[in-house]
Amino acid sequence: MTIPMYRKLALATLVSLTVLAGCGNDDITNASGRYFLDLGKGIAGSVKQIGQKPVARKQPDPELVASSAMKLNKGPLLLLSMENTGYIAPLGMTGETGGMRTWFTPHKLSVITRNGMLAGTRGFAYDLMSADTQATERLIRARRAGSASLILRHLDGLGRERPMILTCQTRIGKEISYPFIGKTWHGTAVAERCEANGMAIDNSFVVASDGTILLSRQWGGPQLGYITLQMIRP
Amino acid sequence: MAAGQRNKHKTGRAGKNRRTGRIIGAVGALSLGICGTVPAGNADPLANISRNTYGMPGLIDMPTAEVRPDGEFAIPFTWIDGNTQRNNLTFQISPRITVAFRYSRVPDLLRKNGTPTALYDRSFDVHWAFLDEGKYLPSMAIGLRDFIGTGVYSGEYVVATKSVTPKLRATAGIGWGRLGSFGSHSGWGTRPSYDYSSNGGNLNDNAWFKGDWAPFFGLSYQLNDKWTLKAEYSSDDYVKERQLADFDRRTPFNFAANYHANDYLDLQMFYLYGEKVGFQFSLNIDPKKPTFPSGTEAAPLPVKPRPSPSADPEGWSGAWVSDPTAQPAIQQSLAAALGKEGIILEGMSLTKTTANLRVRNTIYRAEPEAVGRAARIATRALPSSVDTIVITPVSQGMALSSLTFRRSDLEQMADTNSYDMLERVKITDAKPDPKAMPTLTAYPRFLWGLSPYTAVSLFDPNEPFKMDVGAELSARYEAAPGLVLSGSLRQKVAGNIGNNPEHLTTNTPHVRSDSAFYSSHGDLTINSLQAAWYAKPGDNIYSRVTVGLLERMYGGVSGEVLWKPVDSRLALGLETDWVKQRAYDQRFDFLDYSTVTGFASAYYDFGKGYMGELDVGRYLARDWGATFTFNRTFENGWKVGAFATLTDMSSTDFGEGSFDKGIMISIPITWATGKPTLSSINATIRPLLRDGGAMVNVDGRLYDTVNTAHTGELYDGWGRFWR
Repeated sequence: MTIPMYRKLALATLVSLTVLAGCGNDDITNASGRYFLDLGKGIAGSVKQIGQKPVARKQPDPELVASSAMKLNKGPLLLLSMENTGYIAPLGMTGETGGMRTWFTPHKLSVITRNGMLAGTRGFAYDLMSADTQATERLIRARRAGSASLILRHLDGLGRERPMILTCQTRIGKEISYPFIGKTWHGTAVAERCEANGMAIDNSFVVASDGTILLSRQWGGPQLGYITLQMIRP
Repeated sequence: MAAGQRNKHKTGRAGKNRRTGRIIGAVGALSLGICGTVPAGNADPLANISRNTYGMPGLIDMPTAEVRPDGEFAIPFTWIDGNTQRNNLTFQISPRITVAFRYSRVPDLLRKNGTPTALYDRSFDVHWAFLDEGKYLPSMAIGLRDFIGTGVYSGEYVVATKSVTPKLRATAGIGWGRLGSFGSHSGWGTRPSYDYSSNGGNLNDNAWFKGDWAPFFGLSYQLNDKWTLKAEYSSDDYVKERQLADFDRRTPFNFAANYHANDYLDLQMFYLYGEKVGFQFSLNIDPKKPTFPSGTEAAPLPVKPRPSPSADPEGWSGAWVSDPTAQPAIQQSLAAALGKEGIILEGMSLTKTTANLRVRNTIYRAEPEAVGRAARIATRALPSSVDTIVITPVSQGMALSSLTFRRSDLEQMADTNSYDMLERVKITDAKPDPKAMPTLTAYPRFLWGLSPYTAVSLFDPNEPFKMDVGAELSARYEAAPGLVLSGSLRQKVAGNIGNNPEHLTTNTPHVRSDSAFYSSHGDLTINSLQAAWYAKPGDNIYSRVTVGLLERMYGGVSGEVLWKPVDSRLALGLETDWVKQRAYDQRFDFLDYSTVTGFASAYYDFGKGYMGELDVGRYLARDWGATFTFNRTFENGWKVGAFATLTDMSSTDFGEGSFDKGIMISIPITWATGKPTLSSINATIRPLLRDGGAMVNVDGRLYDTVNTAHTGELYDGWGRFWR
């Protein structure tokens, strides 16, 4: 290929990809065009950031987030905080079956709990698909020390749901009181250490006298990391 | 629930046995795999860290008895001083077998009117690590290099590799052919010499392991997790290069250093034969490592449990059935809710206790995800007396299967282990449902799109890489279920594929080899314009008739029938196409050539993602023969495969290459982006485009359309049911 032809082709490719990516309502035709457009935008974005200092993101105040959610939503509410990404958002309950509750954030991401134990996430890209928390839940809500197993399931790269089996030990801690959204919350601290082949994670809970989990920090998986759930309204 | 307990619930049906295997395999074995250490005595093939110049597990020019990660697909480009190129495409088709396709440039090996010119050569390799390393035993492999083709790199080997320490590996082996040319000892048989004038393309099996053999050996040392150093004693004498090209082999020792930049990229530098420096740049793609494994689509709505009978007496009693406005209202709200999630409700039948929803999935790559979302939404809209929910996936108006759920199972098992639900669902063939009411808003449907297209042409020795880019306007009008009118128009913006087209001098009809003439016309060409009718004439039987301009080179009529039961490994099909060759300008004119092609096809799903296809019949150039296709599909939709066609067209008539062969790759876009879409990037690479063994490229053939909602794929994708 002669050099001018190369340049002409490269320019044409760039032009046609950017102009035409995403026209029309047929998703199947447009998906590859859109993919390259998104790829281009991503590359352009990271190129722009070269040499720039990373800007510290301002963390939203949990109290503000919680109190504004309480005004908008009259049902059960939780406050979600994802340690890996710094994402903080209120969770409103959209469905309940037995002890399983499905909660949605304003960004249409979802968390599923079973009597307060983390049982699933949806929309987070490395979602926790399901969890068998019944055994550990019994110990934690009863505020009893002991040993139980926990099974967490994620989708692997091939789309298969694969279980991770952890052995957990619970230890009971002190009585805790903390202020939040104008109330004082009382409960017992329960720490849970879960191990699976050389790896260990620590979950922590604050359990009220009636067995409700008021505040918890639970591990959702290797990529998901720790998730904090704080009760705003039961 | 332990795997053993699960087994007891199974009945003896043949179909169910296959499912048992899958469930237990999926859950039992994987739970061991994910968190257990490999039990003692469980050997694995030796994992290769850096490749050789041929892109295969090896040292520098020599191979080793190692393998790449299962399923890995890579493009290693090797360049050696003097502009020798080995452009490779490798695939670890199974844990022990590595295959490669290569396009090489060897300088000065050909003479054109006396002046030396480069030889461009296509070759295929296969490598099998048949013995795993043990405490005392080395790992061993056997391989064929360049085993089809004109043979400039042809060689065979048997090699052993042993880990002396965890970082140091020693390799020794014996090579034949090119790998037996230096330090050789005479072996058995005679090896035919390389014939430049041959058409090549044949399995040169009369040469394998014959002729002189020579030993080779080497070492690899992993300095740290980024750097690996290698040294070898090469038995490749570079005979032709020393005779015809400017190659001086000063020593048999080669050295290399490999830098593992990250999971996707390896960079390597070589010092060859005391004479030449070389580089390799290797792109590795592991289909098992997508960017966003669970996808980034929005969360599904939760299953809604039914209120108690005392709270909803009308719903539970079924009195609502007598209200004629009930079903239309329910259907409308279901269609609206499903539409928001990319699912079209094509029709529904509703009785007091059973609802059967005919749904078309328009965005989820894994059909179970669409089925799961449809089931969730059904629980939110159906009256309480309905306790059986049937979801029938539909494609091109044909009902593909029916999945029957008990509503109480959906309520109790929401968001739990998806494989528990797989045991409770009944998957059957979709029976005709005369009571189904069509959703009036589902049809007609009009879709259009404007997007760029690229076309690539490879391996022309005068211009090995040619490309066209342009814009494509496509439209699709779905008049009724199973009746589709579609077309696409292309406008070339720039490109050189059509420059200086030439006719082949063969005396067979030029059914494909005139491709460059078509590419030379780029202004508003009609890529396709056709009407297709899909139907399901009987249980497990699907049919298609397509009329019009079927592809850029042919127009006519194509008819196909497929027999495929929902849980069968085997499918059988018949297809016939009556076509006329289109004029080069790809508008509405035709050339004189017309013919009838026809095939009987058998498809077989071997399990674990391996699929084979055999098509027997008559091809476009009126030649008779058979095509063998073999591919591996990963559960996430990646597909890599190869095909070869043997017909009664003689290899002299076929020309260079002797028979049609190629490889195909399909990558679902959602694998890279995480966003839900059915779209994929598809490429078919043929070393040569000739006229033998050519089939019409008709859109929408039945097998792939129907397979998405049959048990094989449903089981593979079931992990996404509650997604």
